[in-house]
Amino acid sequence: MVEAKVAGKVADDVHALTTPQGGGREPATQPVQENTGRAGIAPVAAQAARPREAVPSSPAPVEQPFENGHGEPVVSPHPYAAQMRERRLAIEAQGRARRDTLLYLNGVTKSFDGFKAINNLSLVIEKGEMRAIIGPNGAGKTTMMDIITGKTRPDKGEVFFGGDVDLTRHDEAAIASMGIGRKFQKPTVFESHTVEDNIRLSLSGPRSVLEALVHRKDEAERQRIEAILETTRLTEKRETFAANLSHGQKQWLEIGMLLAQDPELLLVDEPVAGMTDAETEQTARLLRDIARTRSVVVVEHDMHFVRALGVKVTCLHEGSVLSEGTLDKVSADPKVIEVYLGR
Amino acid sequence: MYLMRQIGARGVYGNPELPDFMVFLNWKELPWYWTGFDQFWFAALMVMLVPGLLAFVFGFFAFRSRVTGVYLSIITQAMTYALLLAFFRNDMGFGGNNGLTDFKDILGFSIQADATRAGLFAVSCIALALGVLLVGWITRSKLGKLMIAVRDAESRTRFIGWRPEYVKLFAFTVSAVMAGIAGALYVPQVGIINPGEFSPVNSIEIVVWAAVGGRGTLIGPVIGALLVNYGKTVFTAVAPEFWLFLLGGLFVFVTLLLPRGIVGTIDHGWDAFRAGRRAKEAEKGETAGAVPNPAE
Repeated sequence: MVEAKVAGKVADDVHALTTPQGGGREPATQPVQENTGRAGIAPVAAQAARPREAVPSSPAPVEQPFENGHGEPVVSPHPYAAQMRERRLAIEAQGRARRDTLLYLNGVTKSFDGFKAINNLSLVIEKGEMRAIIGPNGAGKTTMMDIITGKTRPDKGEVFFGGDVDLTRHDEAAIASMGIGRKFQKPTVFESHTVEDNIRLSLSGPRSVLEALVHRKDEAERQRIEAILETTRLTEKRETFAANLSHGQKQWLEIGMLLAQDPELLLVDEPVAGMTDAETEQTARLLRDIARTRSVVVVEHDMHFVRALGVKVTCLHEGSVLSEGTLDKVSADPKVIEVYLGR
Repeated sequence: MYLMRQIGARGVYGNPELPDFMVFLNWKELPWYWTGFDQFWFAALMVMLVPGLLAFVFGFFAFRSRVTGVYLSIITQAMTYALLLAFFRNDMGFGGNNGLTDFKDILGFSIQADATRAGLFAVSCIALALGVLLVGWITRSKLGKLMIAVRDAESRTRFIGWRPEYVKLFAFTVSAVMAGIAGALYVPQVGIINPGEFSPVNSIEIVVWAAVGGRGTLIGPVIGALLVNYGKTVFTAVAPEFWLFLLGGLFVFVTLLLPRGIVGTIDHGWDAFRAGRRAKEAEKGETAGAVPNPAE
């Protein structure tokens, strides 16, 4: 019976390690604990649970590795081995927390000449999720995107893609090849090229200069370009130079170029700036369509558009997350109201 | 260097091994970097390899540090100026401020002979044609489109996953190789090569050829180069005192009245003419449709 209790205790501790919320477990809640070899596991596991608990709340009382909760000496592994095991479990637990996420930002800080553009920003995007990021001007939305795509390196903090890839170690081209696509605030397309050539240059594939020299157009490529032209409704405009497109069409072309890269995560910066209501509606539909197979992060000011998207919203202010949740919850939050409307 | 070694024992000092200026400097033997240059194939290879390698290494570091625009021009000019000063020194082993000259023959043919000169001219024309074809092939390929994209919106190409520095490095190195071949054809026809050719003025002149002929066109720089150099010949003959003013006048004229250069203006003019014709026909169609003439 005692073994069952001990086993239950171990199972509870393992559960505490794997849940994202570090469960605040007391190290010893069993009334009786026999002096068995297996009991030695319980205190060590409880200690291993402590680093998870320590992150959000106050640390639990320190327990000596060679005593169980009742002060009885137990035969445990060498304290050094116990320490190493504890450290390893802590690292694994942290890794497990971010392994399933797509984008993991933790404590990111970036200052420009003393001005803190990003201040202890922590954000998590799950796979297949679409998120809208709102916030007043100067909140750090574009700087956050710069950091994610590798244009700027943060002073502090972790940025992980797909759980394991440290984005702060790579530059823009490498990150783009990994599967993060970015659309700029001002539509940046290749004005001297036709719509078709714009998309052709963006198609995912080898990025070597010599390959581009001897590259031949083939059927598969043509079909991919067709598909993208159709999605962005630019099929009739395929031979037009990008410079001659309307503003809304340029935005869509840029989204099309983004799709051509076949990314896992799309970062879209103000996609409907300067668009008519009808175009805004179409863009919302397009992005919802894209979000079925990919993850999308949309930065926007237009609340109608954000409502039309109908996704979880994160509000940034002065470089950190102010509020997170559905649009209704965020817009009802008094902190957000104060920031947007003033007191 | 090959040509110097071909002089052999016919030089002023009659030394079969060493060129004259080395004998003059009391050097006892050929420096290591002259070895192998008595073979034509080796010289021909080095003509392409040395400028290419220099451009590759220099470009690698310059483009990787994302130097662009005017700053890139400045550091390339700084490099050529430094080389100018280096090659002017007599101890460099390249003839110092006198340069290399007094060539006797090339591949066995006498350099002064008319037949050789004609042959060299023909080879130059063929090389030009090949150069134009090569550049045309590059610009029409996907790489050419990529180069235009890098020119227009470099950060956008970066965010798509391309590395603009490698694109620029490719263009830089190919240009250097072509320039090397051009230089190798230039020297036997002119008969002398002097470190003064390194001067920044030459670089500016090349830019002027491209501007006169038409930037962004394939044939433009060729026509520009021919026109400007022909102009030089004509003007120096016609007005030896102020030929430079006439040449300057030509530049000003082209810049003011033909900003796209000669070929550029012709291209643009033709397109504009065709568009105008189409517009006129469209207008005619419109008015005819709107007001049907009962007499027709």
